[in-house]
Parts: sequence; structure tokens; C-alpha cells
Amino acid sequence: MKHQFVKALRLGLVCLSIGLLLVFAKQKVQAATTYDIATDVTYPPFEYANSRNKYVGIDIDLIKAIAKTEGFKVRIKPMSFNGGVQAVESGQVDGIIAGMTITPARRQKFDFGTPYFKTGASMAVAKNSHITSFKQLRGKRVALKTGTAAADYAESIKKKYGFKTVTFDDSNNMYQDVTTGNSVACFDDHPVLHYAVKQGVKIKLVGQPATSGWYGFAVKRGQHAALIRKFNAGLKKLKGNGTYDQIVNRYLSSQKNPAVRNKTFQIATDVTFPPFEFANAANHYVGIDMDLIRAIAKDQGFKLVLKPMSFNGAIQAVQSDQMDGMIAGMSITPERQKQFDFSKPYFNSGVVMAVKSHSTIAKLSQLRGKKVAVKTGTAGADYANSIKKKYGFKTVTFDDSNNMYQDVITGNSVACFDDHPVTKYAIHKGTKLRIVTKPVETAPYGFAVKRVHNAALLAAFNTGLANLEASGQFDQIKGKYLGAPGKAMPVTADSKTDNSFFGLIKQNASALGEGLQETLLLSVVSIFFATIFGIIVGLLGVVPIKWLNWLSTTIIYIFRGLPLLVLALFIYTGIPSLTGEKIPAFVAGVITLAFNEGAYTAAFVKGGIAAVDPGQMEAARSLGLPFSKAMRKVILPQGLKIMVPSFINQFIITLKDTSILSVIGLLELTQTGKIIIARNLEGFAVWTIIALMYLILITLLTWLSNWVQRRMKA
Amino acid sequence: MSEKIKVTNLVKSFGTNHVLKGINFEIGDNEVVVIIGPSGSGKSTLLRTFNGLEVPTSGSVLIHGVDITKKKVDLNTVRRNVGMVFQHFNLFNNLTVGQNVMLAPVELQLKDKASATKQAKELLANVGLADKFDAHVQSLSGGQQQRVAIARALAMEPDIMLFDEPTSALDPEMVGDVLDVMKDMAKRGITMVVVTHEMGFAKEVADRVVFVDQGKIVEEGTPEEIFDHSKSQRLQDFLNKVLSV
Repeated sequence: MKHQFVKALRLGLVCLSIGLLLVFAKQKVQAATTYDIATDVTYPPFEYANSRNKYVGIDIDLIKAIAKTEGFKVRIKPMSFNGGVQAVESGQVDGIIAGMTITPARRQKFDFGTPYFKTGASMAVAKNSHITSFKQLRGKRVALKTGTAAADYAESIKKKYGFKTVTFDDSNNMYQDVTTGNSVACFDDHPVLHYAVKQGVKIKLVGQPATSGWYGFAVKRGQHAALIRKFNAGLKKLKGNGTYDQIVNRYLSSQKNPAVRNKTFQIATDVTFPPFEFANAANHYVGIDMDLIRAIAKDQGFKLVLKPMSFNGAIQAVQSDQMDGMIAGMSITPERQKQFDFSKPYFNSGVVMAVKSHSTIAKLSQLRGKKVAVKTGTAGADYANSIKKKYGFKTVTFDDSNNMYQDVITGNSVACFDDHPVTKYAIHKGTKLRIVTKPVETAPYGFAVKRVHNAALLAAFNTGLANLEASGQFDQIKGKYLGAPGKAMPVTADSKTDNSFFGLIKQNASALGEGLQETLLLSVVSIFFATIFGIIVGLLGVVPIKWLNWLSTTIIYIFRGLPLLVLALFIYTGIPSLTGEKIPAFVAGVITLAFNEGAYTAAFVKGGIAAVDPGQMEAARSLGLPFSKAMRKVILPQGLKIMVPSFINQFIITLKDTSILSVIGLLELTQTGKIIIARNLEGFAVWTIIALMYLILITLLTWLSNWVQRRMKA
Repeated sequence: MSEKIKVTNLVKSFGTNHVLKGINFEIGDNEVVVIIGPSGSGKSTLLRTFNGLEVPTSGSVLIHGVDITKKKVDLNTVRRNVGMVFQHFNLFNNLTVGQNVMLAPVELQLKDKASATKQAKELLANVGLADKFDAHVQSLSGGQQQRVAIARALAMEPDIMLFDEPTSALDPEMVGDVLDVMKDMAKRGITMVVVTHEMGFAKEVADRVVFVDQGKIVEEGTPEEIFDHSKSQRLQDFLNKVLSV
């Protein structure tokens, strides 16, 4: 027993001495260099707990960096702003850094360090709010955060503008009060609101900051002069060596985004989805999406190659890595989220039903048994399909808006469903339709990249979008195409353009010329490769080697059996998925045609050779000529003569088939037509022009072929 | 051994159709052999095995002692020495008369163009067509075409000539010209195997006549033995039919 008691006593003594040592050590450090600094609980981007519950922010990083430079230690004490102010006053803490605006009133009680951040009071409203000025606040409720300079400012003008205020202790609750509509607006420091918008809080800034001021680090007046000195010295050093800028940029990066800077991204878009994307009179791609992505590229410092293709083509191009991303009035749906990563939503559209101007149909219930036109991949199509059982109508699907409208105007369909702004824009442009329903809430639009791909681009888009929303630039873009909310759409200058047949030709001469060139180039290159491929495969079919014959038959079977459209999409979107290498649309187009037309060529080459009297081959071989010589000198010259009409026919077919390649976004003649029509909605006239151009091309080709044929006979 | 062609146990079947049912046959140097027999008896098929146009089902075909039914034999080399004349002439329709004759020697680099031209002109003169050197094949009559075909085969200077019913596709008045050319060749001592229905030619020119019926050689011998002292009933029946026409 005694022995055990001694043991316990000894253990106790050891513990005691360790404890004493720890206490002494702690007191020693504390006495030397540690300051308690109060800060706000949550005032991003100046102070807030990050996802790992660690306190970060401009204020926190700044005071820590200064402490490090000046050789002291800080203990951050997050408390409410008011609590912090009081803690400094009562001497419980040594200083406060909490986005605290330097005001004359505060100077009575505190000593401030060198001002470290410019600020000002700004007003923000809910994203969909129509409030644009203080005047509209009369009789309304405005949310404030206690103790902020912005709150003081709001209080100072509330009488003048006749609004009421409600006060919150933290920013999130204040924002929520606005987004839920309890309050119509809130006032806070400009950088704080800016940051909130960037983080996706559904508010927007209104106007420029109403006041301007500076944040300062504060200590109790007349005390801690040493701390202020150290703070000022440290701040000066940090500003000098760039650390200050680094810290600020970490949270308020208005700088270009280094992850995407100077990189070039290929972005796919739809050809015809005004007012989101369409070619203007100068054949330049414009629209809300186009202006937005360009502005974001500029904001984030990346380069952009925009590729208009059909909506479905764009989806496949992104999935197959041919394109880095797409922006095409694309609704964020759960199905698509399985394949794509979406940006923050940038547009809420809403689907409407439109009918012919003089139609008597005004309600969904009148659609029973009727046909309704929709456009592939749109929210309108999804909506129509979701209600078609209930209302008993059938849908017919089009690849572009203009064809869909035409179907309604000609009476084939009784109505169409499309996004509200799109339909509104078309009507504004003279399409003889009438909107008969209120917009139905649908999934908002987002910018998309392939799932888990291009994360940097997506992040850059989100950051850029937040910046543009915060600066009001995005509102400007929307206003440009949709008019100010509630106002009529701006009348565009289009009314003075000449939409007569020859006027259209003149207006679009350069676009049509380029389309023609592309079609010609595509035809010539494709015919060249298709002919070589076809002759080789055809010959493989007649050589006296069994497995080569089999190979030839199989190649012909596959490439003649596949629809050209399927083959084009397969090569353009499939090959990159397999190899991880992008192929340019032109190359994909040529490969497609070379295979498809080459297979037909191979079939008639085989047939042409078989049509030569077998006695010719026997006679040549009997003289001792090898197969290849007999083929070259005797059989082919006779076979080619038989094949000439088939070749001419195949050339003409190839030329026409280039039009199918418009699906992969090649700007050939047909695609050019689609784009022009998307802009001016003059479908009949433009298709007539395009049709005539094809006929002229084919006539020329036929003449050329006949001339060659005559020369061969001679 | 002086035989140029030696055929042993030759069998040729097309699926279940047994065309040749075990042929043994040989041809000596400078010999002219005429093969006769009813249509479908297999005589053309037999002839076409001599230059590899038909591959036998079994048995062997020795040309100058080389078995050409063996896979590793280069038929192109064998064929240079075995000329063939077809029933339907098979002149190359894309070439002129002269080009037809010159094609093989020039392409196989046996002669340069100048000497090939010279030879072609001589050969065409020998068959009575000196003036047709630049003519198009289609402009010639059947008899003329067949003589060009003979000249074309001779241009390779073969030491065996095979004729597959060379006059069967000709109008009667053309037959004489062609047979004259062939008789002339026989006189010059060229080894020839001729499948024909021209019994007069056989009697006059052949060293030996072979009668083939139903895929077998029924009788063979001198023209006298065959035509005047035929032993088998089948040959007698055949001769009665042919000669009564």
C-alpha cells in the first residue's frame, strides 16, 4: 500500500511540474507578442469561416501577414461587429479589424491605422426586381446590417425617400430578407455586396456607391500606439512588396483569371436562336449568349472561337470533346446534368405558346387532336412533351426555329412552344404569330461543358458572369436585345433593309459567296479522295485474292449502308471520343464523304470491271501478262469507259451531299442559308437563291464532265 | 523424253459435274494433235488445263516436264511459251491491231518497241493483214480478227500453240483463211493442239487425232485410224453426225 502511495505522489508531482511549465511558457509568449484582435463573425470577403471552418478573408489574411512581418502574434476573436466594437472599448481585446469604416464619430472613441481598403455604401435588390433608384423605395422595407457605415447612410436618407428599415446582425440574414421579398432592398458596403453577387446570392447592385469611405484597423483611443505603429509599418511593407494586392485579389479577383488567361476555347452555339444567337446583317454572330460569352472572355482574359452549328450538333460536339463548351440558350435539366457540368444559371426564360395571328386557339385545351410544332432540344419541346398526353395533342419536331414557325404559319401545326424571348423576338421581326399564354416557369439557361471536363473554363464563366452581373454589364446586354423590362422592344433598323429577291442577294452576297466557296472546296477535295478510295476498294474486290474481295465487300457494305448523316456525326463526334484528338469539321466532312461516296464509287468500279468481257483477261493472261499488267493495260481502260457516266453521276451526288455536312457546323451553302434565314426569316426567298446556286453548280459540273467524256471517246 | 505435254490421270469437276474423268495424254515435239468430240465432251476444258486457265481437280499436267498444277510454279513464265487462240478471238478492244500484237513482248520487256513493231508487221504480213497495223479491232471481220489473234500469240514465239475451236465463231467464207494460216504453221513444224470440228483440217494436217467423249479419251490414232477404221460405236456415231452435215 505504502509503495503505491509513493508512486501516486510521484506521478502527481510530475503532472504538476509539467502543468506549471506550460503555464509559465504560455504567459511568457503572451507577455511578449500576442494581441487579441476582434473581428466580425461573417462579413465576406473580409472575414468569414471557410468550408473547413477556418477564419479567412481580406482582413484576416492582412492582419496575419502584418503580424508576421512585424514579429508579433495575433489571436483572432470572431464576434459580432457590435460586440467587437464594445470589446475594444472595454479593453477585452487589443484591436479590431472588421471592415470598419472610418467615421468622425468612431474617431472620437478609436485610433485608426492607415486606411487599408476603399469602400462605399451601395444598394442591392433582388435579381428580378425592377427597382433602379432610391425613389422607388417609398413605403417599402429596406434591410440593413447593424453597425455598418452603409446602415448609417441608409438611416440618414430614409426620411427623405420614405422607406422603413429592418436590421440584421449578419449579412446572410439580410440578403435572405431581400431575396425572399420581405425587404425590397438592402444597403451594405460595396465590396461586400459585390462579393455576395459573385458567390451567387440572388441580388444585384443598383447604381454606383452612394458614399465613399475607407476601412481602417482600430484600437481604443489613446492606447496601443505601438500596435498602430506596427500595423502601419506592416501595411506599408505589404503594399510595397505586392502581398497586399495578392491578398485582395485572392478574394476580389478583378484581375484576369490565371487558369484560363490567353487560352483559346472553342465554344459551340446554335445557328438560329434569336435573340440569343444569330448572325446580324453583317453576318457577325450576335445575341445575348454571344455578347455574354464575349464579355466573359474579355473579363476573364481568355480567347474564344465561336462555332455555330445546330443545337443537337453542338451538344454532340461538346460531348465528344470537339468543343470545349457550349452556350445556346440551353436549359439546365437533370438529364443534361448527367452529361454536362453547367454554370450558374444566367437566364430565366419561360415557355410560351404561340399561334397564327388570326388563329382562334388561345388555350391549351383547344389543342386536343391537333399537331404542335417544337424545336429539338428546347425547353419548349420538353414542356410540350410533358403536357401532350394531358391535352391530347401531337408534336412535330424541327431543327430550327424558322422551320417551326413556318409550320405554324402554313397551318400544318396549330401552335408552337418556344422560349418567351425567342418567340417575342420572332414576332417583333415580322413572323405572323401571336403569343397566347403566359410564360411557364422552366429550367433556366446555363453555359455547359462536358462533365468533369474544362472545370477551369466553367469556373471562369461563373466568375465572369458574377462580375458582369455585379457591374450591371449583363443587364445592359439583355436590355440591348430584349428592351428594358416592361417596355416595348426597341425597333431595330431592319425595317429599312431591302428584302426583295435581288435585295437579299445583294445583301448576302459575301456570305453566299463564302458558302459557295466552302461547298466547292468541300466537293472538289471530297470527290478527289472518294474517287481514289473508291477505285482502290473496287480493285480489291476484283483481285484474285479471297480475303481482299471480302474486305472490299465489307467496306462497301458498311459505308454504303450507313446514312450519310449518321456517318458524319459518327466521324465528327465518335472519332474524338475514341482517340481523344479533335478533328476539324472540314476534315471530318471530307472523311465522311470520301467513305460514303467512295463506297458507291467502289461498287460501280467493281461492276464496271466485271462488265468487261472475261475473255479479255483470259487472253491477256494467256500471253503471260501478270494480273496487275493485264488489269492496267487491258481491263481498266475498257472498264473506265463503262464507268464514266457513273462517275459523273457520283460527282453530282457528292456535291449535293455536302449540304448534309451542315449538321457538323461547316459553313457551306446550306448552312449559310440557314444562318441568313435565322436572321431575316425570309425562308422562301433564301432557299430559292440557295437552290438556284446548287443548280448552277451542278449544271457547270455536268458540262465539265460531258466535255471530259467526249475527250475520252475521241 | 521428247514429249512437250504430258497429262496423267487428269480429273476436273465443277461441283458435281465431272467434266474430265481421268485423262492420260501426251504430245511430242513438232506434233500436230487434233482433239475432236461432241459438244460438252470436255475437250475445251482439257485444252485450257494446258496453260493453267483451268486448274485440274486432280492429276498432273507436265509442260516441258514441269507440273504446272503445282502452286509454286510461275504460270506467267509457262504461258510465255504456250500460245492460245480462242473461239471468240478476245482481241483487246481498247488497242489497235498493231498494239494487240506488240503488247505482251513490250510489257514483258522481251523486245524494245522498235523490234516489236518490226516483228508485229512481219507477223501481220504472214497472216495476210500487213495493211491493218493501225486499224481498230472493231473494224475487222471475224476472220481477220482471228488471224490477228494468231499473230498476237506468235509474237511471244511460243513453242506450243493451243487452238480452242478457232473457226467455230466464223462465217463459213472466213474459215478457209484461218485454216490456211494454221496449215502453214503446221508445215513449219510448230507443235499444235487444236480443238476443232473441222474434220477436213484434221485429216489433212493432224499427226494424231484424239476422240474425247464424256470426259474420257475414247480413241486416238492417226487420221486414217480414226476416220477410216474407227473401233468404237461412239466414235462412229459421232463421225456419222458430223460428216453427214
